[in-house]
Amino acid sequence: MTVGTTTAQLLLILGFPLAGSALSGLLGPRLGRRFVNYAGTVSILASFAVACLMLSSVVGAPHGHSSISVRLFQWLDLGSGNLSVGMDFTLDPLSALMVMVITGVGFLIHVYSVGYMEHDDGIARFFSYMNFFVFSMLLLVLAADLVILLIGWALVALSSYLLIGFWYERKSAVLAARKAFITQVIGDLAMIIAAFLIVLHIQTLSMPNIFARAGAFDSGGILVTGICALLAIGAFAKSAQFPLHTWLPDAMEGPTPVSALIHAATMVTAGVYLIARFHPLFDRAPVAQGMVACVGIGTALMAGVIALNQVDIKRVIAYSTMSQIGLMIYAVGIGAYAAGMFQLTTHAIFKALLFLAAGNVIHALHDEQDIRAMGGLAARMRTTHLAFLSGSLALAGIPFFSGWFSKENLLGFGTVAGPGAIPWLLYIVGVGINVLTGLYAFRLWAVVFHGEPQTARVYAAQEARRVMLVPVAILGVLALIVAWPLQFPIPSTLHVFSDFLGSVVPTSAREPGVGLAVVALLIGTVASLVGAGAARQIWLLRQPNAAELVPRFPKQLVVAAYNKFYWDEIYDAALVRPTKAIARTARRVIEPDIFDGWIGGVVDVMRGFSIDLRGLQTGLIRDYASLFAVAAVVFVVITAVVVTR
Amino acid sequence: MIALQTAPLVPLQIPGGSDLIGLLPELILGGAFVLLMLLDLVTPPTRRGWLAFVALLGLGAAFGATIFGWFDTAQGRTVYAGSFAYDRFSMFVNDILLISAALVVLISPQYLNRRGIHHGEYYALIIAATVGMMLLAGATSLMVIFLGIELLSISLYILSGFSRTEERSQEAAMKYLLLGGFASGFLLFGMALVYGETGHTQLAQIAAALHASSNTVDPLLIAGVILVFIGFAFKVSAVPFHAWTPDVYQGAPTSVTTFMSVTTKVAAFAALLRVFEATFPYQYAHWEGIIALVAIVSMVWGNVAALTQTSVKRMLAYSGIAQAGYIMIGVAVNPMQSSLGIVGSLYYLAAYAVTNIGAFAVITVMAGRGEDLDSYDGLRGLYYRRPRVAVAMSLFLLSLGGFPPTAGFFGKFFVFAAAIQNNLTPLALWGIATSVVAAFYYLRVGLLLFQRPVSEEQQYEWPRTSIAGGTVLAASAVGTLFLGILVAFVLNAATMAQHGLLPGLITTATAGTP
Amino acid sequence: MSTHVPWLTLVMVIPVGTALLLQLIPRESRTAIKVVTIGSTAAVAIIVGLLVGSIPRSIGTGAPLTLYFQEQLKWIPAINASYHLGIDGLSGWLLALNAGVFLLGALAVSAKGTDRLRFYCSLMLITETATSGVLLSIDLLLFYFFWEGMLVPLYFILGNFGGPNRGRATLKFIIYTTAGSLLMLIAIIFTGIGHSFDLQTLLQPAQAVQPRLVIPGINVATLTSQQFLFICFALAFAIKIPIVPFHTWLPDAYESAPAFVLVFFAGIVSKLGAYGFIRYGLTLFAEPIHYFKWILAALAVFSIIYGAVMALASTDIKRIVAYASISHLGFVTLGIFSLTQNGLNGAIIQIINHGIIISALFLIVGFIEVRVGTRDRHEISGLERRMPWLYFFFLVATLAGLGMPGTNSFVGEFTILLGAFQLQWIYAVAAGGGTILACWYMLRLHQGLMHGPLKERLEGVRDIRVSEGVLLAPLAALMIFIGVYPRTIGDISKPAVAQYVGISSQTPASGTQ
Repeated sequence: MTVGTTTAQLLLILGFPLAGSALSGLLGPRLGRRFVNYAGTVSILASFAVACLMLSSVVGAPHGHSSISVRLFQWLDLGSGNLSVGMDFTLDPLSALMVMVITGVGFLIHVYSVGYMEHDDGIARFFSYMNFFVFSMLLLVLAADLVILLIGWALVALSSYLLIGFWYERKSAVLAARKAFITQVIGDLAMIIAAFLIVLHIQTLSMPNIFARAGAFDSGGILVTGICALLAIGAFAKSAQFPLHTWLPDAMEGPTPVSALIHAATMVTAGVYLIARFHPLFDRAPVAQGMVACVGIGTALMAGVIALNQVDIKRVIAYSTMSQIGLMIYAVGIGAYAAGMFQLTTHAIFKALLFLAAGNVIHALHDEQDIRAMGGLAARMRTTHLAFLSGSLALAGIPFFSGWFSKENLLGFGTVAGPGAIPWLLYIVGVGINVLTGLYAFRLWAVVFHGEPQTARVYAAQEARRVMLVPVAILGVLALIVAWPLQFPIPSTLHVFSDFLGSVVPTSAREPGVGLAVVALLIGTVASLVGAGAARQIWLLRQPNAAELVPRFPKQLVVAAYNKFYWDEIYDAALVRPTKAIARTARRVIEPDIFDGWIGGVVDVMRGFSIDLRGLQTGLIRDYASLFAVAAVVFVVITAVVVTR
Repeated sequence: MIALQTAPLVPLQIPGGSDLIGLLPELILGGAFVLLMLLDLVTPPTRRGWLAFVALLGLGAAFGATIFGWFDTAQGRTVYAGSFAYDRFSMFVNDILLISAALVVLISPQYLNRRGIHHGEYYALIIAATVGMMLLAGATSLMVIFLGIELLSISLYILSGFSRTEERSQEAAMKYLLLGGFASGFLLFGMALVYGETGHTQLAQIAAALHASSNTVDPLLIAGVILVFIGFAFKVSAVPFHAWTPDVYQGAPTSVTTFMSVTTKVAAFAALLRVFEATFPYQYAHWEGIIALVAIVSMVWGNVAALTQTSVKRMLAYSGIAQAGYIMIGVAVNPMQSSLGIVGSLYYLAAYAVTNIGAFAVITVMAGRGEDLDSYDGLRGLYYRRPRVAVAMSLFLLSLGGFPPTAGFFGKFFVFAAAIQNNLTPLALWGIATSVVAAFYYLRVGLLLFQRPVSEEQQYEWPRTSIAGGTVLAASAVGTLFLGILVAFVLNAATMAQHGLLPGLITTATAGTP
Repeated sequence: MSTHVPWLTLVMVIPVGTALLLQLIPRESRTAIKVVTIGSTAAVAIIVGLLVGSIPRSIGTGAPLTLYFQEQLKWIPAINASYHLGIDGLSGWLLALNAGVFLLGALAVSAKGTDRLRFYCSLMLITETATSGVLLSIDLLLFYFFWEGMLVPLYFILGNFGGPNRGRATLKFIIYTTAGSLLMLIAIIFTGIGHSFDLQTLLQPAQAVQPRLVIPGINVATLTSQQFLFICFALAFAIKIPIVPFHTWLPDAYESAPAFVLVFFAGIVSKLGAYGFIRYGLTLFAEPIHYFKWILAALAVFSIIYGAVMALASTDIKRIVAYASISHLGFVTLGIFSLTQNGLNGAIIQIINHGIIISALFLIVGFIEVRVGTRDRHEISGLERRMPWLYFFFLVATLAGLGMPGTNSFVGEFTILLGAFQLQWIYAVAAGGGTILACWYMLRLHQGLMHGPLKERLEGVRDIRVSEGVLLAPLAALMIFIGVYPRTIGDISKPAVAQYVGISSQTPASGTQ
C-alpha cells in the first residue's frame, strides 16, 4: 500500500457517492427518474468496486503494514499548543471491513430502492439523500482525526434526519426526524467534550497519535474513565442504546430502504465501531467498559421484550435491531471487539434482509404495516417468504446460519468476561436473550406469513418485482453462508475474521478455552432453539387469534412493553415540558418586566420630573424674580459662610 | 505656576491712533449703525432689503477688521487706559459674533416680510446689539462691561418686542426688560463691592490687587464676585437665573430669537471667562463651587424640562439653558492648572453658535405667513416637502445632541476633557448623564421630520426657501460638519485666543498648548 | 500590495465619496443609482480582499501591536489625537466581513427595491464608511469618533425605512447604545488626555501612565481606576454586541428593520462590540480583564441560553432569528473571555460565521414574509413543495445556525467551547447545552415553515427569483467552504490572536476567582 494509491482510492471511494448525491439532487429533477436511478445506484457500485480494491490491498499488505494514514490537507491549525486538526484518513482492516459492509449492503439496498420508490415523486431527493448518507458514513469510518470523525458522525445524523422526514407532509415523520436529530446532538456534545479532555491532556486529536499516546492516561484513572464514558454516550445515542434509544422506533417513519440501510445495517452500528476503534482507551478504563457492557445487555433485554409485544412489522424489526446492537455493545464492553465486529457484519446482512423483505410485504399490502392485518403470505410471496425465513433463522441464531456463528462466538467471550458475579449475570441474561430472540423472530415470521389471511388485501397480495426481489434473494443467500468461511464460534478452529482484524483490535486477552467454549456454544444454541421452538408452538401450530399475541406473559408486562415502557412520556414530562414552561415565563415575565421594564421606568420618572419643572414655569414675572432673588441670596450666603470658615 | 503681566497704569489721555485701531471693528459697526438709521428714513418700505445688504456690508467690513486685528495682536494689549482689550481672545469672540449676526441678517428680510414686521430699524438694532456684545467681549474694565451689557440688552429688549401687534412678543419684551433690569442691578452691586475691595475698575489692576492679597479672603469681595457671576449667569440663561428664557425665546420673533439665543451667550460667556479666568483666578477656590453647581443644575434642569415640550422654540430655549450648563463646565475648571477649560468653552461657543443658528434658522425660514412655526406638528413630515431642509435640521439636532461627526460632539468632548483632567469628573459624569436625556428629545424631534404627515389638510404650509435662507442653512450645516471633523483649525485659534486672554496671561504647560 | 497607496483611506473614502456622487444622479434614474452603489461596494470589497490576502501569516514583530498598511496624519495635535489607521489579522477579517455584508446589502436593496432609493443608498454607503473607520482606526478618539458617528446614518436608516413602530425602536437603539458609548468616552478621555490617544503609544510600557481618578461614591479601595475604566468600555461594547441583560434594543430594532437593512445592520454592527473587546479590552485592560473575565464569560453563557430560550418562546419568525442572533453572539463573547488562543480564534471565526449566517437567515425570513404576508410561524407551513430552492438555502442556513459539523459555525463553536473549557469546564458544558436548544428552535423554525401540509392559503406562493438566489448562493457556499477549509480564516487570525493573548497575559491574572 502506498500513500499515493491510497489517497486516490480514498478520494474515489468518497467522491463517487458525493458526486452521485450532487447529480441526483441538482440534475435529477430535470433529467428524470431513469437518470436518477442510474446515478444513485452506479455511484455506490463504483464506490463498492474501489472498496474491493482497498480490501485486497489491505489483505495483501505484509503483516503489521496493513494500516496506512494519509492527510488530504490541514483543516485548522491554531499554533503550537493549540487546536490543530488535519483532514486525515486512515485505511486499515477495521475501516476496510466497515467500508465493505457500507458499500456492499448499501448497493443492494439502493438497487432495491429503485423498485420501492418507483411511485414516489421525490425520487431525486431520495437518492441524493441516500448517496449523501453513504458518503457521510464512509467519512465516519475512514476518518483518522477525531474532529473529522465527529463531522462524519454528525453528517450521518443529518442524512438520517433528512430521510426519516422524507415524507415531510406527515407531521409524525417531521417530529420523528427532529427527535432523532436532537438525540444525536446530545451524543455529539458528549463526544465533543471527550475530545476536549483528550486534546487538553495529550495535545492531539489525530486518532493514531491518541492511540499511540494512550499510555499518557494512567490506567483506570478518572480522566480516561470520563473520556470513555463520554465517548460511550455518543455511541449510545448513535446506536439507540438506553437511555438515548427512544428515537429509533420513531425513525421507522422513513421509507423502508432507509430503515434497512441506516437504522439496521450501518449507522446504528457506528457506536460499536467507535468503541472498537477507541479500544486502546477503553482497555484502560475498566469501569467505563463495565458500564458499556451493562447498558448493552440491559438494552438488549428491554428491546427484546418490547419487540415481542409490538404489532407494527417495522417496529418489531427495529426493536430487534436495538436488541442485537445491545449484544454487540455488550461484546465490545467486555473487550471482545472482534466478536462484536463479527456480529455487526452478519447482522448488517440479515437485518437488512429482514427489512427489505418486510418492505416487500408492506409494498404488496399497499403500506399496511400492522401484522394483525397480515397472515398467510407464504403462499403468495414465496421468494420473499424464503428470504425472510432465512433472515429469521440467522437472527434467532439457528445453527449454521450466519447469526449463529457470530452470536455464539460473542456469547462465548461472556463466559470469561471477568471475575465476580456480575459478568456471569450478564452472560446468563445474554443466554436468556437468545430465547427471547427466537421467540420474537419466529412470532413475526409466523404471524406474517402463516395462518389465515386477516384482511382482503392479503388475498390480492402479489410477489414483488424483480428489482426488489433480486437484492432480497442475494441477501437471503448471504445470510445463510456468509459466516462459514470466516469464523467458527470455537477458538483455535477457523478464525480468519479475528485474524484479519487482529492488527487493529487484538483478540481479547481472555479467550475462552476450547472446552468452555463448546459448553457455552451448546448452552447458547439450545437457548436459541428453545426460543424458536416455543414460538413455533405458540404462533404456528396453535395459531391464536391475532388479538392476544403473547398469551403466556403477565398482562401488566405486556401493556408496559407495548407502550415501550413509557420512556417517551417520561422524557416529555421530565425535559420537554419544563423547558417549554421556562421559555413561556421568560417571554411573558422576565423579558418585558425585568430586562425591558427598567427602561420604561426610567423614561416615566424623567417625564414626571419634566412635568414638575414645567409647573415651575408660571409665566409670572414676580415668580421669576423671586426665584432669581432667593437663589442669589442663597449663593452669596453659602459662599460667605464657606469663606468665613 | 503663573506669569502675570499687568498692563502699566497709564494716566488718562486723549485717544491716539493705536487706541482707535484697538476699537476698529466696533467703530466700523457704529458707523454702520448710524448709516442704517439715516438710510431707513429714505428707503421706501418695499426696498428695505437694501438695508439688510448695507448691514451685511458693515458686518463684513468689521469682520475684515477683526481678521486684521487677529494678525495684529500676536501680542495683545489694552487700549483706552487699560479699559478695553485688543487681544486675540476678543477677536476670536468677535468673529463668532459677526458671523452669527451676518447669518441672522441674511435670513431676516424674508421672514420679516412674511410676518409683516419689516421695519428698517431692525437692522440698526441688530448692529447696535452686536456692537454692545463686542464691547462686552473686549471689555477689561467694569465700566465698559456694564456699558456693553446695557447696550446689547436695550437693543434686544426692543427687538424681542418687535412684533408690535402680537401680545406674546410684547409680553416677552416686557419680561426681558424687567428681569434684565433686575439682573443688571445685581451685576452692578457686585461690581461695586469688587471696586470697594480693590479700589480699581480696570480688571488688570483688580487682578494685581487680588493677587497681592490672595492669601487673605474677604467675604464682601467674594459676595461681589458671586453677584457679578449672577449678572452674567442671567445673560447666559443659566439655572436658576434662566426663567425668562423660554418665554422670551418663544415670544420674540424667531429671527430675533435666533440672534439672541446665540450671540448673547457668546458675549456674556466671553466676559465671564475674562473676569473669572483672568481676573479672579486667585479666588478660584471660592467661586468654583457655585459655578460647578450652576453648571450641573443647568444641565439637569434644561434637559429634563425640554423632554416634555411641545413647542420647538421652547424646546430649543431649554436646550439653550442646558448648553449653557455644558459651557459652564469649562468655566469651572481652574485656570491656573489647565488652559483646556477656557479653550473648551471657546470651542463649545463656536460649535454652539453655528449649530444653534442653523436650528433656529430652519424654524425662521420655514415660518408660515403671519405666524411662527412653533408646534412640533409644524415639523411633521417636513422631509417629504423640503428634504434638504429636513436633513439639515436633523444634522443640527444631532449636533446639539453631541453626536460625531458634528460640532457639538467636540464641544462636549473638550469641556468634559477639561473637567476630567482637573479632577472635576463628577461634572463630566453629570454631563454625559444629561446628554443621554438630551439625545432623547433631540432625536424624537428629528424623527418627526421623517414621519409621514397624518393627513394632507392638517399639514403645515412650508414656504420655499429663498436663496439667502438656503445659503444660511448650507453655511451652518457646513460649519457644523467642519467643526466636527477638521477640529484643529478652530481649536488652535481658540488656544491662541486663550493665550492672548488679557489682563492676566496664564501660561501653564498643559495638553491645551500644542 | 504596494504600501505607497493609502489603501485604508481609500477603503474609507470610496463609500462616502460615492454617497456624495449619488447626489448628482437624478432621483428618478434608479438603475444608475443601483449600479453605482453596487460598483463602489464591490470595489471596496475587492480592495479589502486583496489587503486581507496580503496580511502576513507569521507572528508579527512590531511592538506592541503589529499593524499593516499603517497611515498616520495629524488630526488634533493639541491633544495628541491623530488620524492613525492600520489593520491586522483581527480587524482585517472584520473589514472583509464589513465589505462583504455591505456589498450584499447593496445587492439586496437592488433586488428588493425601496422608495427614496438614492437617500437610502447614500445612507448605507455612509454607514459603511463609519464601520470601516471603527475597524481601521488605531487612535482611541478616532475610534470613538466613528463608533458614535456610525449611529447617525443608522438613525436615518432605521428611522426612515422599516416597520410601523420604527420610531420607537430607533430611539431605543440609539439612546441605549449612546448611554453606553458616553461612558466609554469618559474612559477614553481618562486614558488619553494629557498623554496620547494613540493605541500604539498607550501600549508602550515605558510611558504607560495611570490616569488618576477622583470620583466621589466609588471607593477606590474596592475598584481600581483601571477596573472602573474597563467597566466603562465593557458597558459600551456589551450593549453593542449585545450581552444579556443589555439586549432589549435588539429584538425591537431587528423586528422593525427590513431585510436589506438587517443584512449589514445585523451583519456587522453587532460584531463591532466584540471587536472592541478584543482590540481595546485585551490590550489596555490586561489586569482588570483577568479580574472580570469570570463575570463576563458567565454573562456570555447566560446570553447563549437565554437567547435560545427566548427564541423557543417566540412565534414571530423575525424575532426568533433576532434572539438566535443574541444566542450566537454569546458564543463570540464566551470565546473572547476565555482569553485563550483557541477561544479567541474561535471568536473571530464565529464573528465571520455569524455575519454570514444571520444575513442569510434574515434574507430568507424576509423573502418568506414578502410572499406569505405574515411573520407568525403558526400561520406558515409546507412551503418546501412550493419553493424547493429556498428550502435548500434555508436548510443550509439552519444547519449552520445550529452548529452542524461540516458547516462553518461548528468550527467556531468547537474552538470557542474548547477555549471555554480551558477557562472553566462548566462554562463549556452549559454553553453546549445551549447548542441543544439551538437545534430545537432552529429545526422547529425550519420544519415548521417548510414541512407539514401546505396551507391552501399558500398555494400561490412562488419560489425565489434568480436575483434573490444570487444573494443566498454565495452565503450558503461560504457556510460550507469555511466548514470544510477553516484554516482560510485561522491562518490569518492566528498571529494577531497570539499577540493579543500575549499582551493580555503580560500582567498575570491577579486575584482571579
